[in-house]
Amino acid sequence: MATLGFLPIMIILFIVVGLFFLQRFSHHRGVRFLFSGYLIILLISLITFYLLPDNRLSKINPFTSSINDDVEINKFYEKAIRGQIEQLEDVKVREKWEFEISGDQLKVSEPEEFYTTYLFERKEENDHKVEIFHYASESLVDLLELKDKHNFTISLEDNVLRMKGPDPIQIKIAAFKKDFVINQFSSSKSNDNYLNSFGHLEGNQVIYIRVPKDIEISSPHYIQYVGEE
Amino acid sequence: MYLAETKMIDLIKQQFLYKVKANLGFFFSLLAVQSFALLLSVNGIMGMGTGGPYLSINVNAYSNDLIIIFTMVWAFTIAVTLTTKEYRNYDFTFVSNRLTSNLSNILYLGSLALFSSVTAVLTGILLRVILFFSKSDTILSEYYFYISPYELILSIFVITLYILLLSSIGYLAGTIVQLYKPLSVILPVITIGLLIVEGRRLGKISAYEFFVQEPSLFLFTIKTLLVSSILFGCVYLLSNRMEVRK
Repeated sequence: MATLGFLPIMIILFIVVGLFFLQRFSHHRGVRFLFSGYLIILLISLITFYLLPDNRLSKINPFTSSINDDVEINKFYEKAIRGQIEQLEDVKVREKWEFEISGDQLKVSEPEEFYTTYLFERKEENDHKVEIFHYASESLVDLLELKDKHNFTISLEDNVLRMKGPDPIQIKIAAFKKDFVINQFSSSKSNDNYLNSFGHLEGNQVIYIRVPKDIEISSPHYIQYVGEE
Repeated sequence: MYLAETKMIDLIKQQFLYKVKANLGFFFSLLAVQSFALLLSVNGIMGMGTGGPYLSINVNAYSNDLIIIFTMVWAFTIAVTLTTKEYRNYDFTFVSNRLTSNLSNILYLGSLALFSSVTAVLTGILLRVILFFSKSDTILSEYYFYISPYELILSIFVITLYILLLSSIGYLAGTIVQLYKPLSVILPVITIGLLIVEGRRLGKISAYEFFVQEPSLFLFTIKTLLVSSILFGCVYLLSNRMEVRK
């Protein structure tokens, strides 16, 4: 904000110095030519603007009207741990795996940079099957249809469950703010001013691992079971 | 009586047309100011990024606000410039009195306000077109990207009123300073000082609330037109006290 305060002064200086020099050249033909050129560019851009195809525009709104991402995240994990994740409206199964398992031991192996929470759920029976569900709330990945490029890699070999997160994706978004002169008089005032939280774009995710009843699980981390708080 | 009135209107018209032709530099400085604001806006007015483990998001926000603000400051500067000796004396190349001189200046400032607000809004459109065709690796959000023709005209109307208001402030300030030179220092100091004091003490600036936070377009129009008329009226009263060609 400190720099913004100097802005008007800078503009005034800029204009005064500009005017001083321009007085000498204002009747020069080049100046008129330049100015007409500017007006023509503006007119062309106006016509172009209303003819623009809309396939380049996306429905993503990066602004948030309030910072309630923390609330959303807490709600998501609360529901996830209680096994009620499917009650959340925008949460869907993004990926699904099923592996046969023999023996009574399951070892979890994950790389150091694995950041997704995973929960275990014991089934009622010993069906020698490990079912894994990747639940995710709606995020940029859905909006941009990046699902195929944003997959987890999960495998089960020799009773070792290996999990790897998706390769990182970088997304750049450009968005316009509502002009203050329009916002001042519009009935639906936009308070979309915050750019400081992207939780609604990143989304939340959790991995459910459903294991046979009597299997023994070993993991380098704390083993969290569904329904156990 | 009839003859005299026609003469006055003719005079104002003559002076107005003369001003348009003589001050082409103003238009060029408008071009320079708006291009400069456009240049500053092309990179976004604010940006944020987040680096999640699997997804990193960078958002750049764009807006016309800078272009509009630059244009407003330009208009204020032009209004002050019009009151300086060099420009005032132009009018006396014609048969003239203070009234025709002031009226032609007001007419001129009004046309500049309309013209510069049209170009400001169109520069905002140009910014959108530039972003649409450049930045191919960036996702463009549709929110507030489109401006309906109604919003376009509304913007032009509102910006014109804002600029007219600022011009009248500038014109009055310039005239006061012409009466008594040391005011050129005292006036800004007092104004800015009072604004700071009010902002600090009350946590608000009433002039800002009066205009910028007025949600009704009708009331806003009345307020800006009324205040500008009062300010222009003050200029007339003050300049009557000036000697010709002071």
